[in-house]
Amino acid sequence: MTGPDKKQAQRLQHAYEKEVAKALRQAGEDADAIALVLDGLREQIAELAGPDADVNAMQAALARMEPPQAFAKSAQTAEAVAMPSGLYAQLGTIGLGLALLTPPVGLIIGLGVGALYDAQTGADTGGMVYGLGELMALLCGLATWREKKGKTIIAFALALLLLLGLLSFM
Amino acid sequence: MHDDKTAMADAPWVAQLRKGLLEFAVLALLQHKEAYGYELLKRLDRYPALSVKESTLYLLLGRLKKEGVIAQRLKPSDSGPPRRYFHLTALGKARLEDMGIYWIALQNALNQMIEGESTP
Repeated sequence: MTGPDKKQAQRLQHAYEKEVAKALRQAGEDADAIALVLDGLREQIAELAGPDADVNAMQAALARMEPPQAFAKSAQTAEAVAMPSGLYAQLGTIGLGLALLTPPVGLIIGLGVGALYDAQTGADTGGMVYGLGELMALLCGLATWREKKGKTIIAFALALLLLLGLLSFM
Repeated sequence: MHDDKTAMADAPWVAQLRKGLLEFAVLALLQHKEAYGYELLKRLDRYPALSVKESTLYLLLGRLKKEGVIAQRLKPSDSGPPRRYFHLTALGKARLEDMGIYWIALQNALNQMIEGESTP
């Protein structure tokens, strides 16, 4: 077997692993759980394809594996108690909306954008949106602290933070 | 008959029941002999009623490891990367024992219900 052939086989395997990791991340699995699944898959692929697998052997082995999305489905149906990632996004976009506009309008825009994120984001994206939204709301609130709007923004941002904390313990 | 069995295996209630029993089955398989993930998958495959896919099993192993019910050790392999062999911890042995006791109680209760409860 030639070097490039083996490298191509490894690329196929890495692409599969990357897709599985992405699906699991989006389903809210943590790094340890993903690492354990990937280790298991590597052992399984190595046994199915054999040591120093060529492209054909690798393709045959991967054809016998479950598609990456099956891992997301299994993770979602497992008894996970993590907060739905969409909720992070929802709270974050409300914070972002509040930071940009006065509370009632910001709330409506935040809920609308959050609903869109609900349908599309995974855990990482949801968490990121939440963090950014909160940060921006707090910064905007601090910058306009002397105005009534600034105080309201800060109050809403802190309320969101408190709400998230409470929901985490439920 | 075969078609009936296939249809039954695909039924949602079968999947639910099997998922609930999978942890018990994995602990039972590990009680006498440590095993790596794919080996467990193949051993479970010998029992069609408990056969599962890798996505289900590897995630379950992760959860059991996190709970401290199983632990792992690395062993070299001829066919590729080192394998992680799972074994029961003291907590895992205790849980398996509890599950065994509960299983017998559950089995007895269900048998009585299926056969018809005796009137007091």
